[in-house]
Amino acid sequence: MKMDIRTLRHFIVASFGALAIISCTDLDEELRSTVDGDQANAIVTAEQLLSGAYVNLELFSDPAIYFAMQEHSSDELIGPTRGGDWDDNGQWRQMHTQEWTPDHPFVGNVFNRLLTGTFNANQVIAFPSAEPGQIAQALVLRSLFMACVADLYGQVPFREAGSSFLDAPQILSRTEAVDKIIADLNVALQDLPDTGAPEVITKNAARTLLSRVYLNKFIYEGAGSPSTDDMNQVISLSQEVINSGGLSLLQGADYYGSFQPSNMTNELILVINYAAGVPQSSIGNNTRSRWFMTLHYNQNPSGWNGFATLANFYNTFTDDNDVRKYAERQLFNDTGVANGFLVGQQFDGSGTPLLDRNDNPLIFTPEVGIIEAGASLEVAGIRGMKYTPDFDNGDQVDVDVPLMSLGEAYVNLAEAQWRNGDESAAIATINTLRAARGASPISAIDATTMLNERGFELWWEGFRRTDLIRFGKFNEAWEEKAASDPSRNLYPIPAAALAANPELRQNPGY
Amino acid sequence: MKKQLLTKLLLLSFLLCGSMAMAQSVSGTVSDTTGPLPGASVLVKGTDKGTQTNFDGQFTLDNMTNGDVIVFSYVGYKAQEITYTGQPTIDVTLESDTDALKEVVIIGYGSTTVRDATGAVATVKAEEFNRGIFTSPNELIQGNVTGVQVTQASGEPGASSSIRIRGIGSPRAGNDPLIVVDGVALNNAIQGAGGEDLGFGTSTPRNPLSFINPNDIETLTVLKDASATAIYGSRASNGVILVTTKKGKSGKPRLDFSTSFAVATLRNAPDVLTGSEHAALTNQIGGTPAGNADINGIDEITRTAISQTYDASFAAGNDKSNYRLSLGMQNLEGIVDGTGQDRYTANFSGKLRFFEDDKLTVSTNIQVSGINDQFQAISNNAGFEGSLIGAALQWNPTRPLFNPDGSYNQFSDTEPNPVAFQDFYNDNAETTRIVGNLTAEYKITNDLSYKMLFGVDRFLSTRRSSLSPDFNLQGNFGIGVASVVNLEAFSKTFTHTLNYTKQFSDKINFNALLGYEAVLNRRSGSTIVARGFDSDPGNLTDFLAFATQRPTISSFDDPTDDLQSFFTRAEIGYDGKYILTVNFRVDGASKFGENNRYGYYPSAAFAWNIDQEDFMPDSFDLLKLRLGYGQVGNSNFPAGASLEQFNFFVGTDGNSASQQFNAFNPNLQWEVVTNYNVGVDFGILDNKLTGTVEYFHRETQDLLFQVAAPAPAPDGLFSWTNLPGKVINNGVELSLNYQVIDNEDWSFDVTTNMSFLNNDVRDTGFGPNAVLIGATNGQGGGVPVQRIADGQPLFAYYLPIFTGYDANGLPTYQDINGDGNGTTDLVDRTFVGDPNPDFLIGLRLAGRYKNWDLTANLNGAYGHEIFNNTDSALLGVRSAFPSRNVSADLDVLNIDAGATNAASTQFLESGDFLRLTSLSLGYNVDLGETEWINSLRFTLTGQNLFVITPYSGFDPEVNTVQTSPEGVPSFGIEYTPYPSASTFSLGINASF
Repeated sequence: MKMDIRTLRHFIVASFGALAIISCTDLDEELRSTVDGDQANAIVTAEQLLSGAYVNLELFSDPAIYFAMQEHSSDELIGPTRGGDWDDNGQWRQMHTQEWTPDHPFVGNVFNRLLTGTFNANQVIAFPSAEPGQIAQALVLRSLFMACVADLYGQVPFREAGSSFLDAPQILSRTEAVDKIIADLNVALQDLPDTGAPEVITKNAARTLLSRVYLNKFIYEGAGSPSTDDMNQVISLSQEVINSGGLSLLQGADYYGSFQPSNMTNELILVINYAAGVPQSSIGNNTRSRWFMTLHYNQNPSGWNGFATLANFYNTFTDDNDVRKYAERQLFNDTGVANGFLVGQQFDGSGTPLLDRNDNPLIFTPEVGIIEAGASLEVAGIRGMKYTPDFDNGDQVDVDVPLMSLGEAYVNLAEAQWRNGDESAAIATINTLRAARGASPISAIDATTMLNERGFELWWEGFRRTDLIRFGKFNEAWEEKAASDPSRNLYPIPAAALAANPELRQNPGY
Repeated sequence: MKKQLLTKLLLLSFLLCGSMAMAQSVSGTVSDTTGPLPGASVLVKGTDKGTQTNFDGQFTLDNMTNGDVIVFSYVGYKAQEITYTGQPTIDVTLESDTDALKEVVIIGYGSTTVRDATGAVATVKAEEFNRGIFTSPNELIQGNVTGVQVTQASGEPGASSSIRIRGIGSPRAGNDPLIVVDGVALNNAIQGAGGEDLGFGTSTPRNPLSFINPNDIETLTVLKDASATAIYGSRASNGVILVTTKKGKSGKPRLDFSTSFAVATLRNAPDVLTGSEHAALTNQIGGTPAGNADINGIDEITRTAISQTYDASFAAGNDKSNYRLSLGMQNLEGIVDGTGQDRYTANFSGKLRFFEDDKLTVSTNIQVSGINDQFQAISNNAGFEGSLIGAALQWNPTRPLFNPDGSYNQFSDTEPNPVAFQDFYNDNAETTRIVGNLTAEYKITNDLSYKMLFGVDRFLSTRRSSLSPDFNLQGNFGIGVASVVNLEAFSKTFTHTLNYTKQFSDKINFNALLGYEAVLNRRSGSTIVARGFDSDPGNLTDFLAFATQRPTISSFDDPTDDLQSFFTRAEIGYDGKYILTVNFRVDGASKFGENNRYGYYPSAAFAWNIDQEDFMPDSFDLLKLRLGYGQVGNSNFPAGASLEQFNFFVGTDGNSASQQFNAFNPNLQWEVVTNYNVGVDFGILDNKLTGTVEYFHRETQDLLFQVAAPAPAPDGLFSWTNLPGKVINNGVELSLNYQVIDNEDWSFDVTTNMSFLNNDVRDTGFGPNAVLIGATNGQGGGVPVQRIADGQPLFAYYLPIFTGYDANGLPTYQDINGDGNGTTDLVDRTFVGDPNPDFLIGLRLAGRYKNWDLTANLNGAYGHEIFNNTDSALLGVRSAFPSRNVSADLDVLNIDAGATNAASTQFLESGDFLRLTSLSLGYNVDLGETEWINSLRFTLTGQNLFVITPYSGFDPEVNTVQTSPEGVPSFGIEYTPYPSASTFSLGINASF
């Protein structure tokens, strides 16, 4: 009996002890709602990785980074400090006065995000089961991001597809990067579809990017003028785009149709595809901010009362019939907000004049200071409404952001023709475009006409800084900006990037 | 005096009567002042012979020999020795033991006494807790423990309040201590479901400790230095708080009932312009007032909140078993209309002894809680439209809230109507948490025992929030939004310990502990956000199918988060004078990189009871020197951080997409925290004056951080890495307790504690610019105001220096880069302070006169700064006037409308404060001979009655936290919080 109790007791104690064995863990780590590299190769499809790479295009829509570096630094846009608004450590002012430093947040963000784009494109290129067409799209995406890095920063950290990002990247010089981009795009062209919806990369997107690179190549090479060969490349590539079929210029005020909800016009070559109601917070601000950034609080939709264009730029629009300057479309009937540049008294949808928040009439003035105060605080500056707001989808709007369009092909073609001395061809090309835009034809062409035409067609689309550099005007003085040193033609390498990668060298002048 | 005399007389009579008897057995009753004491130990000294008293306090010992010494003892009572001289009965009345030095101190996986403790350990007993109504146990010890800063929670019921022990050591990996409830360590990652961002920011997380009913807590023990915490290894760097719940006691069954009724009101809100002031100023600047109302937005959304709590518990026990069951119900109303918390708790503890000599003890503790939280739209990171509080502060006081037809005046989608906001917003959370353990302890021999603990922690939380499409807010009007967030977590703990205790000679005491522990954590959740409601059919979360836009759905399931540990402790005491404790823990964690799977955490401490030395005068009741050294870890980083990870999501184009977002880091490990501690404990004047002085030095190395890999690399990545550099916290702590008077009618007790803290970041190589943190919100927001830099404290403010206004009413700033122009640009800023207090003070005064008692608790912090984001983004914005309301202190007439409200020292304020945390008056009813009731007590308590502070914002104790992209939580920035409340409560406690 006693034995039994003992045995029982030992059994009970032993059974508690058994829990010790059950409770042992081998500490192997299992991922659950994410997957590791091996699983990714089995589960993830090349198509998903490609979508992941396309998502990086969103960096071009955020008005506070790439857009700001290309536009706020130019004569086309200013982000005035308006009392409590838009001070933001002076980051907008520094952009406009070209007094940025290596720790400027845009400088760091854009560098990282463009290169993230190259990384995600590489994920597709190195993916075992990726098809040639998918690799070709990824090559174009990678080339686009690399071209922007080369253009902004003058050097490009690069890793071959498939190499670990724990290894230090190699640093491509500006010309090495350009050579690589040209080679990659020519490879990609072989496997891309001829035509397609603008949300997917086609041959036309690769051609447009190639023509951009050729157009700017002489700047990247430090040459004083472009080579005839390069310009001939631009001409043939642009003509291939224009004559590819499927693309045609929109007529009149429909120019703004490329910037409205459900925009899928025949002018568009590549867009950032925003689908209604799809979460767009993965990276940055979406198209919504393109109208919020400029409209006044008391307009409909109410905006953030921010950015404006500069009077001198506005005054280059001499033709009032040019729809790119001003057009009244359905939006105007509904809300009193026109497309194009808004100047003077603003009205609501019923035609009642609007007031600002200090009860002054809401009259947008061409004069604008970099720090606004007093009575002009809220009203200074001409606002730009390239986009038509989406009132139906809240924050997740259904307005794609055009990145490449037929209009660009026309101005690129005209510029290359002009730079190769073929003025009559250039004038004809421009007049084709102007006719579609409701503007009267030009009869003569020079650098100013050419640059102005680019400004008319591409204002506030992220081209201006590159264009001004190519036309030798980026260091000139303009409103609220003094003449600047040529070292400003390159942005500094961000401080954090220099710390993370000792192979990078700071650009001269910083 | 009387008792002693009585005992002596009794003894004498026994001696007289029994001297001739030859009786071989003795029996009797052991009692205390209230009656018989079951379960008391009755032992013959120097032998194994002994027994325990039965339920009626009676005992019998056989085979007694004259001259045997019988020892009567019971935990919490002074032992008595009586020499057996043949007397047939011995009745003993034990006196309760008030010798503080013998009090049990709970430490990791065991206990010790005040006399033998070697580490920096502070115990707060229930009677020393702050009084009043609390949602969370951490407020119970606010201001009570030196070196421990418990930040006052906002007035929001259930809001979190942080605990910082000896400063902050980690920029990124969290600074919350490990909480251990009855031996089960809680997973710090578990907290109530946060709200989705519905257009005005994400809301504050819930207090993870609010599942514990403060009335169920017996003691809270704070382990501060590494010699005390090292036994918890990789989770111990921020200190450990041991929560011990109440247990049943041997003795008469006992029924306790308590209830309280509380009234809370807004304590303080920033002064804004009244309707007439606003109208007058508007007219003076040539504007037209928006209306002729006189509205104070904050008054419109706040109320006098009524709360009540009911607690009942019954407990009983005898020598074989004891148990306690308690039920609690608390209905708290928040002072903001529509907020509140209902909490239902049940707590059971039981213990059973088995086998001869009670060799097997089985015990269990279970805490069950169900919490319903009701929220309003109050967030940490609202945009310029503001959250509910922002909308209320900024509502133009002259503008009517309602249209003539009775509908809400929603004139603008950027200036939301606060009352409509409250009405159109729906948000509540249901949270269930069960924390329980089962423990079995088996005495293998007299010296060796084995203990097994199995603990579980189950957590379920659902939060449903919605904003009606009828509410006019930018991006919401005509659209509406609803979200449902689910979170669940399950943790299991298995602990096995062997304990060996042996007295080797008269002089050498030895105790050793050997343990194994496995902890398995799992956490998962899902979120649905639906938008596009054409009309408002009611609570939108009940009508998700009504949403026209494609819903956002996401889910997560954390990677494996297992911990496997081995630990040991040895304690050797020599002659009661010298005590050496050595701890060693090995923690293996699945989330550590594969090259660093196991971490090693050693510690050692030495104590010297100097007062026991012959050369010391008797005037010292206690004089003890303690030296401690140890290394512990901070491993508060997410599971999976060391692995290459790909995620899945829907791209902007609506297609499924995948990206790599985390890099493989096989070397990822815990932060190493090295700790040195020197302490002196003393007691003089019969321990009427006791105290402790301590110096500590704490160094955090291998700082856990998320850093960007050299580009090109995954977006926002931020892979987890250990960086060089260190964070040093050091300081001096002082605590004193003086029993000024203690007699039958009067007592008066003063306890104070002070801490001097210093915090310093070194050798990170971050440079001055690399880590920008503490972004502001709202108008002109998004600007980081703090940075982590060498030679500065963590979270140092880096700002332009505001120098006043110029003749045009525009602000001017100091020229720091020397270009002749003072601006708010990045180049014109410098380090201007930090949010870490230099000095903490707590003061407790407790007095008693006959049946009346009065307790006051004060606490304060000095030498730190707060960035007032409420002022910088809302009330100090000149350009917002006259459309919105502004601070009553803003010089509207002389400051230009274009004056920037850019972040600068203009909005940096001293955070010094002294708060009357609680003031409580108690009355114990004299029940005379009443049999059916033991005690009846009334208390009247005021909480948070006043704060002495120069700070102009809501409350100098800032609890709002916003996390930077690198995951660094902000600290010391006021983001327009839920305002704090002053509370009066009346409580009744009865014991039967």
